[in-house]
Amino acid sequence: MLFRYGQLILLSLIFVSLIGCSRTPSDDPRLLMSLEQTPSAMGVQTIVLVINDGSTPLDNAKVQLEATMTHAGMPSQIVQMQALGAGKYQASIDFSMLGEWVLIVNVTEANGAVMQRTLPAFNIQ
Amino acid sequence: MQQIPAIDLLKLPGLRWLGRWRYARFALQLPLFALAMLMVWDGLTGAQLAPKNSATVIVWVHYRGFLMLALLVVGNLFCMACPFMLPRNLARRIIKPRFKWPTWLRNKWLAAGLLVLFFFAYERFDLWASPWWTAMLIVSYFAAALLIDSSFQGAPFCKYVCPLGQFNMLSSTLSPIEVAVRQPQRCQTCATKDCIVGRDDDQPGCELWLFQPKKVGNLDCTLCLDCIHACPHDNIGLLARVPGQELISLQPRSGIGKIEERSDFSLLMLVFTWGALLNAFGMISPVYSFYNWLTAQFAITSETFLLSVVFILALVIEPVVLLGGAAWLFRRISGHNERLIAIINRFMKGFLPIGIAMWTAHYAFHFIIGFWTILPVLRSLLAEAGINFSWMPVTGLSPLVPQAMIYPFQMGMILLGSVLSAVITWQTTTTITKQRQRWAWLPWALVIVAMAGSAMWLLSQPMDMRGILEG
Repeated sequence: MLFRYGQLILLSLIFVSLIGCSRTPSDDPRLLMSLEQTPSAMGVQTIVLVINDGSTPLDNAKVQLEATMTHAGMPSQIVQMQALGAGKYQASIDFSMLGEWVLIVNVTEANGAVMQRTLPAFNIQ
Repeated sequence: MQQIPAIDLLKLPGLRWLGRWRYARFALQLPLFALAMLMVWDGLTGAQLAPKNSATVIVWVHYRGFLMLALLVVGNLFCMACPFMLPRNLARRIIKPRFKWPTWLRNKWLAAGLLVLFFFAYERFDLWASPWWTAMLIVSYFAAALLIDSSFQGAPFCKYVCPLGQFNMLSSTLSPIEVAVRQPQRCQTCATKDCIVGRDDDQPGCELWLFQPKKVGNLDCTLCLDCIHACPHDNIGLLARVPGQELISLQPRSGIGKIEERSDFSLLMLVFTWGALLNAFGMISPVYSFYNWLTAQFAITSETFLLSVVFILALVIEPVVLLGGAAWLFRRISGHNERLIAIINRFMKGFLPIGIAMWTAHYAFHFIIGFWTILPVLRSLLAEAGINFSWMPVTGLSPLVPQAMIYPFQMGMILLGSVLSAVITWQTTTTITKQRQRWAWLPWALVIVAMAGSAMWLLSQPMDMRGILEG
């Protein structure tokens, strides 16, 4: 009987430790990112992203933008953003469905450093 | 003498092992158990963005779509390979349950309530958008099955509790196969009745208390294969049948009785059928306009309150008005003298096909659109394990079939479900009354038309998926 309770406790501990774990890296706080305008309507829209490294605009980086919905089942769109200078990057995304969308930004800096940031979700209405 | 059906799946080459090998179900459960463990692990520790997590993608895109297609093409395959039963079965080798399921709970009231609770939690906690909650849901299922079936004899979790099982069993009324006796006359001379009581060598009989010679259809059957393995005469098979045939049968069902006289079954079928419309309503734009209107009327922004209003309207007021109205008109026209609730009980099973059609149309949409969205998740999981599958595409993923085919398929499903519902309610009408049958059937036909119209309208609306942000 003691053995059975021991197994239960062990299983519970494993489960609780799983809840506490996270395999996903936290966002790099060094880079500051913001959208010039948050998209809100359906259809193809131009996204302009402003990236700053501290207070300095981040130029000469490769920026990849992934647009996906917050629910499962809709294929993502992944596009390479075009640099406009002064830390601004631009790309077009087709918001093909109403609902919550989220943008994931992958930045590869000139020195090879790679980082990812998930921007706050927004509604397409 | 009853004619022996032509097709028995267990006699087909490649499937005979299912009937002969005692551990066939165990072998089917293992892969799903491993998948469930992967989803729990990923759901709790992985990316908390639904399209990036296997828990949300597999459960809400693949599992639901595959479930409905499997139910309509084959049968209740998920219950057959149910992973929640695996720890429960292993635990029963150590712990023999001592208690009997309380008599007052031997019905579908609790299951119907839990199904409503599940639908409510799905909307309230945006389960489709939360890997963590999805994982917790899986864990809850494992825990509930283990706890209940370790304490109580038989299979009360499957029969009286599991909302998923009830959903599957109701849907399997339209499945083309059922577990059934091959030669009924052989059962007449059987003295041991192993199919229900089990055998001494630890092979259980039907734990859901379905006695094969008197079993009708798929209701309450989990396709667990226990009766097939227990029968010493090899007289039980997976037999082909006409889908929906059991909804016309008026025979008392072993372990169930007459569903036409059980209000608990009626409520379960009502929740299932109207829940199909409600679930789809929660995914389109008008629901948000309705929330805004409600907020303006009551000056309450609580999502729980707004959802409760929608649920009461969809699962209480609308069915009461439609079914109550149809039953009242039926009684007036036919001169039938039963109580309204008794009339509704008789007709309720007739609405199952349109409910099943709506669930299929809805889930098939997500399955077809999102089938390949598992690839980026799979690639990411493999990369974590050090396996490079970079050739696997992560973008530009097309639907499983051309998108233009989806809406016609959905309309076809609704029409088919409506026709089946019309046939079953007509058959019920002609069984109950000999007076003005066509006029007496008309109110039920109008309810079916209203439901089909609602379903088509819902499916024609652009999808609008919100959860985290609300409003």
